Amino acid sequence: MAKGSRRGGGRVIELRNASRWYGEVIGLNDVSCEIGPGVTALLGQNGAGKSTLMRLVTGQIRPTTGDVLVFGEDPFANPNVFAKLGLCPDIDSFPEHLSGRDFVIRMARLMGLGASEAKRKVEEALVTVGMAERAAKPLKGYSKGMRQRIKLAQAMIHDPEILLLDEPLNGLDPVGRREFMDVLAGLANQGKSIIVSSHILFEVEQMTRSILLLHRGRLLAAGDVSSIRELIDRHPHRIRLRCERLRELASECVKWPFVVSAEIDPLANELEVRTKQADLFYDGLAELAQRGIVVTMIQSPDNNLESVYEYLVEA
Amino acid sequence: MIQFAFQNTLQDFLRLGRFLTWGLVALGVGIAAFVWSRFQPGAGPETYGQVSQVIVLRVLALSSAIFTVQVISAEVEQKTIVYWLTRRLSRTQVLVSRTLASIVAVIVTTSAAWLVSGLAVLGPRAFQTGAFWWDFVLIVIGAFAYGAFFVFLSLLLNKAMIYCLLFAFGWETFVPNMPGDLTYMSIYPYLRALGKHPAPQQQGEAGLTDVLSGGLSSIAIAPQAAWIVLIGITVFFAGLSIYWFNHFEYSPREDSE
Repeated sequence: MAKGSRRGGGRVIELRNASRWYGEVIGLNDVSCEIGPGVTALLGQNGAGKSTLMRLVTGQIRPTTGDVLVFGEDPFANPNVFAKLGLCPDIDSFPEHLSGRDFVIRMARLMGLGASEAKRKVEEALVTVGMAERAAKPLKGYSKGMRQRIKLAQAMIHDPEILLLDEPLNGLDPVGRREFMDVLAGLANQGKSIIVSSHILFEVEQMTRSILLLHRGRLLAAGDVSSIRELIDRHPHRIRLRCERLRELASECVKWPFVVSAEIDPLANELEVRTKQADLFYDGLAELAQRGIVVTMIQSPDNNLESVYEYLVEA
Repeated sequence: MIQFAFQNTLQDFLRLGRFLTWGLVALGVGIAAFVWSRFQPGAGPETYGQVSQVIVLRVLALSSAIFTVQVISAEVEQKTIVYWLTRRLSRTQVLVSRTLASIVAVIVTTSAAWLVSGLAVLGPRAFQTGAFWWDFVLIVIGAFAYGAFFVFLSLLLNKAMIYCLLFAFGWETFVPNMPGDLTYMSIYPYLRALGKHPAPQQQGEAGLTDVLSGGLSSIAIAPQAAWIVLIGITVFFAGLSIYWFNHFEYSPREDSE
C-alpha cells in the first residue's frame, strides 16, 4: 500500500524520510507523510512507532535522519510550535499531590494564559471532559479513566490548532469512550488537526476514516480505513470483559446478531466475546451500562490486527 | 510565564510535607550543635565555627543534591517532564526558573539548620555575631555553586541523585584533605575559606572534626580566590547546563530505550 499521503487542505505536519533509532533499536523507519486538518488515526500495535512519531511531532525528540516539520518549523524545543499544539501523552504520570483542577490550571498558566483566563478556560475544559464535579480531589486517587480525561483537558486548554492524543481511550469505560469521541468530533468540526494513536481498529473507525498504519516502525498504509476494514472483517474480533453481573452480561451479548461467541472464563471471572462488528458491540455495551450492567474492564487482545499486518507486509 | 514556573516549582519543593522533613533535619542539627557546645564550654564562637563547617555546610550540600536533582532529572524519571517540555516556555526558561526555585529551596532549608545551630551554640548572642550572619552569605553562594554543578550532573547522568550525594558527602569530605593540589577540585574548601570563624585551638593530633572540616590540608585559599572560583563554578556550569538542556533530549527513559 501507499508509503505516504497528502491529506486535507494545508499541510500541518510533514515527515520527510524520518527515521528514529534508539541505540540499535529502530523506532521509526523512513516515514514520509503529510497530515492536514481533521482527525487522523495512527494505527499500530505496541512498538509500531506510534509514540515515537508523537514525540517527534511534539519536539520531544529529534529524528536520527530525515525531517519533521510542524507548520513548516522544526518542532524540537520550539515554543512557537508548542503554542499551537496540545499533547495528551500516553504516560500515566502526574504531580500526584495536586488536584485535577490545579494540575490543569498549572498547565494552562504554563501555556501563557493569565490567572483569571486560565481559571475560566479550565472550568470549560473540565465540563467538556466530564470532570467538573470531580476535579477537586488529588490526582493520586483518580481512576485511569479520570486521569485520561484530565490529560485531555490539559491538552485542549489553550485551544491548540493541533491535538495529539496518544492512546487516549485506554482505561475509559464505554460511556466515557462515546463522550470522548463526541468531544473529538466537535473539535474536528472546528477545523483542528487531531492525531489519535490507537492499536484497536474499531476505536479508530469510530473517530475517523483517515489512518496511518504503522508496523515495526514502518508506515505500511495511509488512507481510508475501509480498505483495512475489509481485511479485518474476515476475522472475528476478540474482546475480554469483566463485570459484576457477568452471567447477565453474557446472556445479553449472545442475543446480539453480530456476536459470534461468548464464553465465561470462571478462573479469571471474565467474559470473552468474539464479534465481527466491534463498533456495534461497544454501542451495545453502552446501552447495557444504562440498564445497570456496568462493564468494569475491557480488553481487546486484537490478534486480528496482527494478521492484517502480516498480510500487508507480505503484500 | 517564567515567574509562574518559578513560583509553581518553589511551591512544589517547599510543600508542607517536605518543609516538615527539613524542619526535623534542622532540629537534629540543633541538637547535635547543642551537645557539641557542651563538650567545649566557654568556646562558643569557635564551637559554632566548627558546627557551621562540619554540619551546616553538609546540610547545604545535602539539600542542594536533593533539590537540584528534582529540577529536571526527577521529572524525567517520573515521566512528568513531557508536561514541561511541551509548554510555551523555552527550555532555557524551564531550566532557569526551576533551578532558581531549587536554589531558593536550598537556601530556606539550610538557613533553618543554620539558625537553629547558631541559637543552640551561641544563644541569642548569635544575632550579635558577625561570623554568624556572614554564614548566610556562604549559604547563598554555596547554594548557587552546588546548585549549578548538581544540575549539570543531573542533566548528564542517569540516577543523578546517587552521584550528587556521593559528591556531597564522599568527595566533599575526603578530597579537601588529600595531599597535593586535589583540594582545589572541590567546592567545600572555597566555602570554608570564605568563612569568618575563629580558628579552633589545635590540641594534639588532628581528629575527626578536622577530617570532616577539611582541616588536614595545608593549603590556604585566599577569600578573593574563593569568590572568583565559586562565582566561576556557578556561571560555567549554569551556562553549560543551559547549552546541554537545549541540545539534548529529555524524554522519559524507559520509553526511549
